[in-house]
Amino acid sequence: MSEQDAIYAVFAQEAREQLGELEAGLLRMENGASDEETINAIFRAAHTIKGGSGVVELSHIEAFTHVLENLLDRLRNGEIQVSGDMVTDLLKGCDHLGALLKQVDAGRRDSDPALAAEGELVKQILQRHDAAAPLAVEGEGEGEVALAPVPQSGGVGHDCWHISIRFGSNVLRSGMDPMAFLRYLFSLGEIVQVVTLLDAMPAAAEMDPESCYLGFELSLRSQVDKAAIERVFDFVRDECELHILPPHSLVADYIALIEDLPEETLQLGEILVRSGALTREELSAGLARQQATQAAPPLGEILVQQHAVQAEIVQAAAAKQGAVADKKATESRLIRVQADKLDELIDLVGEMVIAGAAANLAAQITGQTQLLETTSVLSRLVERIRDSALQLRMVQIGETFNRFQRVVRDVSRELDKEIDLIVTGADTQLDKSVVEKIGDPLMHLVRNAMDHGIESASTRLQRGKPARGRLHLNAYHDSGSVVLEVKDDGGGLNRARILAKAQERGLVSAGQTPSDHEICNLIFEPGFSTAERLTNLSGRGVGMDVVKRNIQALRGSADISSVEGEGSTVTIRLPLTLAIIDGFLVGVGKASYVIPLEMIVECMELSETKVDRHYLNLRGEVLPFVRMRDLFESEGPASERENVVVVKHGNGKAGIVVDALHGELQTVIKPLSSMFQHLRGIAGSTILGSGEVALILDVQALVGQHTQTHTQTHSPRGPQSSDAVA
Amino acid sequence: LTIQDLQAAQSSQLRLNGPLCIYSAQELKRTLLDALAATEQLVLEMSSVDDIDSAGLQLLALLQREAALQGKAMCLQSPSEPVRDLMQLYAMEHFFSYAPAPAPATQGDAA
Repeated sequence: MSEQDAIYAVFAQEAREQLGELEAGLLRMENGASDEETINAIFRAAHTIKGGSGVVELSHIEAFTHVLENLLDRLRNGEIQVSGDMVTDLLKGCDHLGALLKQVDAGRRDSDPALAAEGELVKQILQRHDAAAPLAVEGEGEGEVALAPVPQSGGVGHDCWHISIRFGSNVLRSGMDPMAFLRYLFSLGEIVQVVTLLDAMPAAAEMDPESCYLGFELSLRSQVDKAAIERVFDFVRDECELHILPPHSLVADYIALIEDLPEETLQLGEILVRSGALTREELSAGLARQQATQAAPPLGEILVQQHAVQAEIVQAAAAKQGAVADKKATESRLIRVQADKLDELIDLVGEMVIAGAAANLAAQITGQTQLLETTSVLSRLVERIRDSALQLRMVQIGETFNRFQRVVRDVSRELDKEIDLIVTGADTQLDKSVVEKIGDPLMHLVRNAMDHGIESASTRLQRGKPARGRLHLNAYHDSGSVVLEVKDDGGGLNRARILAKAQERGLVSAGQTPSDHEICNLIFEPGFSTAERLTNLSGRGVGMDVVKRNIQALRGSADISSVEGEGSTVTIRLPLTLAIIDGFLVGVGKASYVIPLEMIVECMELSETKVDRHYLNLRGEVLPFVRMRDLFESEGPASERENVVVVKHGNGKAGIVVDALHGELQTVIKPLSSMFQHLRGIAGSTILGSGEVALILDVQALVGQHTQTHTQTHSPRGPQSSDAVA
Repeated sequence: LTIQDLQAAQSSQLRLNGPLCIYSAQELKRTLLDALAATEQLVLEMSSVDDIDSAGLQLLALLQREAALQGKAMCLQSPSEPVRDLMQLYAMEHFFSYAPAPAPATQGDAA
């Protein structure tokens, strides 16, 4: 990645984060949170994207964001009111911006013609709202002449260009003098106010008299356009910081200027003076009063009380002072790290875990106490390193959940239903790679719940439920795994219809009477949809099985429970991480296998050894079991004693019969090569400390597969036997 | 640029002659700071400064600020046309203190 690419990548990443905030803010606003903080956050996000795109010279993004920002600015100043339509259109703007950012990721630096056309359309839509505002759209950018509209509430009442410039320190040395620029500038119009800033000048000892420390805040009354003013500073463009605000700029623009000014330690009042929002006299009066009243309300308040300055300006100045401190604090707390560097680290830690196990084994063979002690300390440290390394990849599920706010909003509009999304457990952490892959299945479930689960408002009212449906996303940790729930308060599953459909499709034979729970889970079978009508969202019968497959690919499981008339809950169980598992080592013949520890309920000796049976009596319960020896056709004589590992299977239990139990171990999953990817029942492999390879069992698939064959060949009551004990 | 010491003791007065600009800025900074260190009140006579640039004005501003920091007085006396022009352009007239022009005309012949 070249340096240039890296810059764009960072820009795109940061812009996407801002976009996320922008979208979240818009949704909050639509839900009635039209407080100042929300609107400011939205505006700031748009402003930051615009600023960032300007810096990396992606002018098409800058231009588009400008339109968005304009509209938001009016909203913020209370010139126009929020409407649902407007939020929809603003969201369209967000989508377009997202598309533009995707282009940046793809390495495109200019505007794509197709997207540009879409952009124009969105711009027009957005400007339609602008037109509703009493204010003419003010142009920015090359060649556009700023209009001089009648001053209104949001604008600061002077008809001057406001120019902020900070000259770079080398300006004088390279033979340019700020006075020449000022003289030239003032040849363009009437100078109204000049404030010279010397704040950048250090103490006498450090001050280099050949460096330039000058900065100016200028007011110019002139009919020229922005480009003409910019041309004045062409020669020093690279060496100075220049901000230009057109006449009658909105308060928000001055606020943005305040936020952009480089001076950090300025007193609030000074900032205000410099932005031209109030005069020095007003400031000193404010200061005097603050000294007089020792109880000292903040200066800002006094100024507002005296109507010397508009409230927003004080807020922005105060926010900046706070933000300067805050920003320094967060900058030192967060580091951006490339994901593949982390992956590499995790990989190395994995190797270390294996090497550590080998060292442990070797130490045990020697039997030297000292060596054993050292290796045990070492393995404890390795364990901790493993945990903290994995922690690095942990992210909160909240970000993924919050993406659904938008989905729920859009879909409920499309379906003409009123649906609230409730998110709980957003701070539950899980592996980044899991989070990335769970998005699609979740999306499907959410859409399904909204489309098929939650009824229309009228039906809901008839059934005595509140008109607004509720969709609940929940996450929590449960014994080494993460549980995600998608819960709706809709109509629930219609069991009779599912059963009828299943029988029609031959999934359940006529004589079978599956349990309610089994019936519900039939919807995860391929090609199963009971929706009476097809919508463009769901109901095409592809989906739920794909969802289940995707989740299983993450070593997770999906389960649905439903109460008719009250709603359904889909529960997804996922491993915390994909890289390392705690396993239980078992032996069959000469081979070793690893069973994920979290799946294991208990171990016991198999006392009855009748071969023809595939179930045993576990304290009065029926426990179906699988013989590994038969399943993998292990060679060699059967061992005298066999053991049963009791594992969880769905809601029930199942047994796996093995020869020997070797105990727990921590193990790194090495994925199987693509040649073996169709192998069912094996999740991966690992290398033991002794150097041997052990296969990791995919318990769900193994037991499930076996019960199926079992059902077909041996007993028609197969599935029941496994779940009857639940 | 040449500098003449016009007065000694508690108050010292210096006359600046010639252009006050970036070429002499390094040297002038040392001279003027030394002069300020040695006295309580520094008066710069500026009627013969025939040119000034931003570096020059910036240096005067530093001196003014430094004097305030040390609790001393620094005044400009009879700034020449170019000096006043630049101060006006930068709106810095009020940044500096001024000493009154000497009562008798410096030429002395008019009496």
